[in-house]
Amino acid sequence: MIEYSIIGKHVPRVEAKPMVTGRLKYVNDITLPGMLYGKILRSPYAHAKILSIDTSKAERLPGVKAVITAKDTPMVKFALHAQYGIEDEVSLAIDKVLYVGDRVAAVAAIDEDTAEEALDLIKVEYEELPAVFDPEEAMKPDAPRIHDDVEGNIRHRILHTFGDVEKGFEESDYVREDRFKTPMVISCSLGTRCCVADFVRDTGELTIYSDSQVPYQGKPYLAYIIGMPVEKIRSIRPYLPGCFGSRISSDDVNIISALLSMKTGKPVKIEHSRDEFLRVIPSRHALIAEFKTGVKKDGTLVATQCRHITDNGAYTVFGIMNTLQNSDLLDLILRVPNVKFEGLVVYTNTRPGLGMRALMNNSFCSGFYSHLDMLARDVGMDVADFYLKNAHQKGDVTTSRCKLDSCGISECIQEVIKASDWKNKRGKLPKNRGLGLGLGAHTAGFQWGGETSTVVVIADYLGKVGILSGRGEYGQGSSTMICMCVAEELGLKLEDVSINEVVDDSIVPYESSNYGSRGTVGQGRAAIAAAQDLRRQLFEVVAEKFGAEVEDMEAKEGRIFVKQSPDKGMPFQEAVKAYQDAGKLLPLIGRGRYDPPSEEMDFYTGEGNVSVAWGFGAQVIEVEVDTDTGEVKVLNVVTANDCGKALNPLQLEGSSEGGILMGLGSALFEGVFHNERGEVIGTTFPTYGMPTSKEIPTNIKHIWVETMDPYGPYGAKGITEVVELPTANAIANAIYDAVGVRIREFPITPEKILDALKKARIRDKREYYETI
Amino acid sequence: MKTFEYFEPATVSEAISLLSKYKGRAKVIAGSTDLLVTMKRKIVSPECLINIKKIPHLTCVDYDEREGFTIGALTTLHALETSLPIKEKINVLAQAAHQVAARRIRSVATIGGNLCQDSKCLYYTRIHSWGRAPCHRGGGDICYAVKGAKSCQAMATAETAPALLCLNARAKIAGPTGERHVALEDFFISAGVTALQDDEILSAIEIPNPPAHTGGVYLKHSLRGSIDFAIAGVAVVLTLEPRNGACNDARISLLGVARIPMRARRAEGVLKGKTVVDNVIDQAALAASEEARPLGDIFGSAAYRRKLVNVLVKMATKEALEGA
Amino acid sequence: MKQEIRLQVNGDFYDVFVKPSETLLDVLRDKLGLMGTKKSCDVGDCGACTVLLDGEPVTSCLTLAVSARGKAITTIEGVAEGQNLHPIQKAFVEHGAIQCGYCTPGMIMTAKAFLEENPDPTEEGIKEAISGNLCRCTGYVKIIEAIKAAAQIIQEER
Repeated sequence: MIEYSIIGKHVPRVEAKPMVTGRLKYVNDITLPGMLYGKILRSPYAHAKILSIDTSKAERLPGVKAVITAKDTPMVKFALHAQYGIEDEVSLAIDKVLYVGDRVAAVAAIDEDTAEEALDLIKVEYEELPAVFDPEEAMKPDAPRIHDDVEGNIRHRILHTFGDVEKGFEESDYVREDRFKTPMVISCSLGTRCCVADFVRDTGELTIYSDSQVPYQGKPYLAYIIGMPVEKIRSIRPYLPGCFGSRISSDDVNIISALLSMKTGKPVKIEHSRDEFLRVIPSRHALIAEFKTGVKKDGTLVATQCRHITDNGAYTVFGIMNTLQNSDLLDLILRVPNVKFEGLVVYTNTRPGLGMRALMNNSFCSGFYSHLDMLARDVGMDVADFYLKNAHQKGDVTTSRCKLDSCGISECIQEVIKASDWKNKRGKLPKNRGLGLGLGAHTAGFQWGGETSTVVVIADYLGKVGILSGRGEYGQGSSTMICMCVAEELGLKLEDVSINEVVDDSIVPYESSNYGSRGTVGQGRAAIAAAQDLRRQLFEVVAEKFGAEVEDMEAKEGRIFVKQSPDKGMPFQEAVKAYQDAGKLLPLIGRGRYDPPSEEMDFYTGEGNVSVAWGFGAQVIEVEVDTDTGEVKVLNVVTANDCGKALNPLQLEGSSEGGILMGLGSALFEGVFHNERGEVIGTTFPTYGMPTSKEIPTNIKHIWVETMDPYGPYGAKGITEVVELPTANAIANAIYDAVGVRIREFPITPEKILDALKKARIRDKREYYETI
Repeated sequence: MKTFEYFEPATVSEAISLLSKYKGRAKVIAGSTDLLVTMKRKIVSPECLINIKKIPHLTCVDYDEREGFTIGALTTLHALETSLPIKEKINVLAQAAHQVAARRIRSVATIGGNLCQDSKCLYYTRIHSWGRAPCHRGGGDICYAVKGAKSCQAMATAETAPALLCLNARAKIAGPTGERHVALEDFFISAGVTALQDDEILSAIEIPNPPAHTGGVYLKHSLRGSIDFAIAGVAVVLTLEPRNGACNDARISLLGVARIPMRARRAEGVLKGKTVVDNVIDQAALAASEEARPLGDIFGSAAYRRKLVNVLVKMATKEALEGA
Repeated sequence: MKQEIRLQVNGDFYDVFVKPSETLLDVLRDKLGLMGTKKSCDVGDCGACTVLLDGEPVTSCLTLAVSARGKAITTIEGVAEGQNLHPIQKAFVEHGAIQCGYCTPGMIMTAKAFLEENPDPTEEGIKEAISGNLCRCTGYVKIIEAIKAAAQIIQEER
């Protein structure tokens, strides 16, 4: 067991001090001289033709500096998968609006009040068209067509098959089918989306103070959309107030503020209101999932299939990507020889979807591991034993070609079963209390082909080390992780290491993207490589001084020394001076690069090892159901996650606690619902159902399973998405265990529980409850 | 927000003159936690705001053995939840005040503001955001919550009202011609509409001394454990006969399940004069749930709200019994 | 329409020109450059904008700047004493109670006012006290731990 100086310790965040004193600057805090404020006019209709737009009155309002509509843009269509011929989105609606909230026009004015007043003065004439809000309705032959080039509103079909599921079902002793619905869920980061664009007319250069998770990769995309040469755009990304995947696209705030700045020649800030954030911005897609699984009497899984209907909303954005990623979930945790995943990405006149913490994986798991929980009961097995019997082991390759070079799911299950006293408590809890087991797995180092992470470290004459990294810091602790890796490799204390606050792409080296939990493996490995590169140069100088070889040197406790004779060495700062005095190249820098072994995901099957490492988690949750009001109280949570190596347990626990509450929210409270006109009602935190401190579980116990991933930095994997996944299905299973009702449409509200209990009592006049 | 004229009158008569001068185009603010939200949503844009927070004598909790309580309309909810005399003698009011919103709201929100708060209807509050024509509450002639309704159907949300109704409170109103009193039952007309004329302000709430052997409880059910308005709120105040424990008087008031904070008189009738045992409580709770006139919305259907009334009345009655 | 008002913030006096419709939150951030207080919902639902008025926690997005005259306003920038962090701030750092940090200033202001009134709180009491401040990242657990730890330190220092 290697003893590390910093790795594995409880380490506070490197930016904690400016955060607690209010000094940390977020993108929402940026103010530039002469800055204007932008606001977006949005469609009140779900589906309508635009007959005319009259902006004259708005333009004449004192304080208004620009009003733009589609004609002021390059009017290009764009989408994430343009190379496959899918381009369905525009910056501002040209002739049709496709959802309530679709962008129609935008205004830049001297202050927000004026900009809002100007929006009210823009007169748009619409001709309402029939709209459709449910993907199954949208697929019917008489449904309104949302995009002219897409028949039946089915944007894309994904089919992954392995073996023969039909044969498998025939050979099974027991087959079960279940259908689940999960609504759109919103990331609800405390900071809304915000961007400040600064176009300077005399140089033709645009600086974007962006909130994007893809500042490098997204730039050519943005350049194309706004009609600017990419080399004229500089992207600066400060700290972001929470993310959870809601900023993985350079859309809306980035595009519109850029266009307004280009029109006015002044900096323009657009910050979404909370109403906009909850009402219109893309988040995790709604899902209808139909599962069918066959098992043998002894619990061996034979075949499993899923018909996965993604509510794509009005524009594709991440609809296909998220469905592709779900295509590998059926047998990501459990071995199944016959698999079929059919993914339909269907347009509706509702808001588009983006990413949110593990994309649509939470929606999938909420249903799938409830379905399997019921299957285990049907064959009379303890679901924990059922999972253990079928679980993947290290070295397995799934039917989608996902390589599980480290896989601790069995250990996770065993740990939570032990820690929760599952075997003794199950079936013996007081009335209306129940225990549920939940599972989840996700990419812990995502790669979409050609990903690369680069880091530069620089040692200065004071012996301090600076790091330049394009990592994203939104609260998940990437900056701290990178500083820890560099400090560990160089034998320095954390306070001797610092990292760039702002990701300015004019000087910070290229970084592929900040999503899919790729930071730990990608940026961690690159940081280690950079530190080792710098270290080697110091080793050469010190080794020469003491007549040793480079391989004999070590960096630890602030010194560079010969491993076998520690007194033959010098403090780090002296070593840097020695390097300088030796006339070597300055500045003293280390460069590190990490390209994960990459495999692209097939666009039609979703197959391909799309992550360098995979993370796994299991939870046992105890709930109590109030059968008078239907309310569910979450009592104890035991969570075990295969994190490869717990680099910083303090941060891991925090992420896990947040993830559990997010999963709890998706299980019991949250969901975007539309009325009959496609308008969203939950546009405030109270009406959306964002959990407060009163909703948290009574107790959470963490267990970290360290499987030492071969690719991870010190064996670590990124699991801040995995930690959320088992929660919702564990709660659903616990509710069933408690009161015998199964709600298949999330969120599981008190009213749904009461209705189900009532039906159970009516159907069978005996006193016990049965499944619905 | 659209800008406005702003005044901080030092006396009640100054405030009233301003209200008379602006004839309905002015609004009164104190804690400003209610009106500013509606203004930010562009639902209302008054020409003038009259901040009465600085007027002395409108913040007080006075108790007299014979007269009972006089609570100034500007007394904050935090002052109410921490007031020793209120906790001692009319704890149901302290309980209700405590359950409003969050501490940071209760620091400045006033009892007057709580009673006079505007409608929280999910449609009314989104009229500008959805680009709709004004509804009944907004001066229009349509209801978006109930098709074809000829008047505002929104549910009542004033959290302190049920407790006050059960305590037989009355409102003291100051206007250009002097003071008048209105029983609190007659104070509420519909969500956001009270008996106050455009040139009047609520100056105090008067509560008679509760008789001996009186216990009261306010229970609230909301989606989350904090911040939220009540999906259903129930206040029960019982006065027991000391010799045999029978119920001399029962007052039950419901919130969130009718257009105004209502008294559940049939339910009260079930309890009055009886020994309050379990099956009597069950009957009263059932009666209350049937008297309620809830509207369904995303927080719960009408049937669910009735069920909540049933559950809450049962729980509150049992607790009130213990305290009596 | 604009009038000059004097605001006392963290012990300093500021003279600013404001419209009556400007909220205290907007004036603190846009006119006084005190960006520590955050805007997250602007309608009083989340508590990110919590500041203290004469020691009591208030929702600054629902407070008109003009009405804050004559009150002692305390923001997050006024909590530390020079280089010395307040025990609550230190505890937040040490206990991992911060992730994205956007709810943190509001949380700390709420905690500060709460501990001054309740120096020896229970866990339930702390949970109740912060229930008006929303956080999406932490799940509140470490925030509660930090406030409990800070309470103990403050008691010991007395």
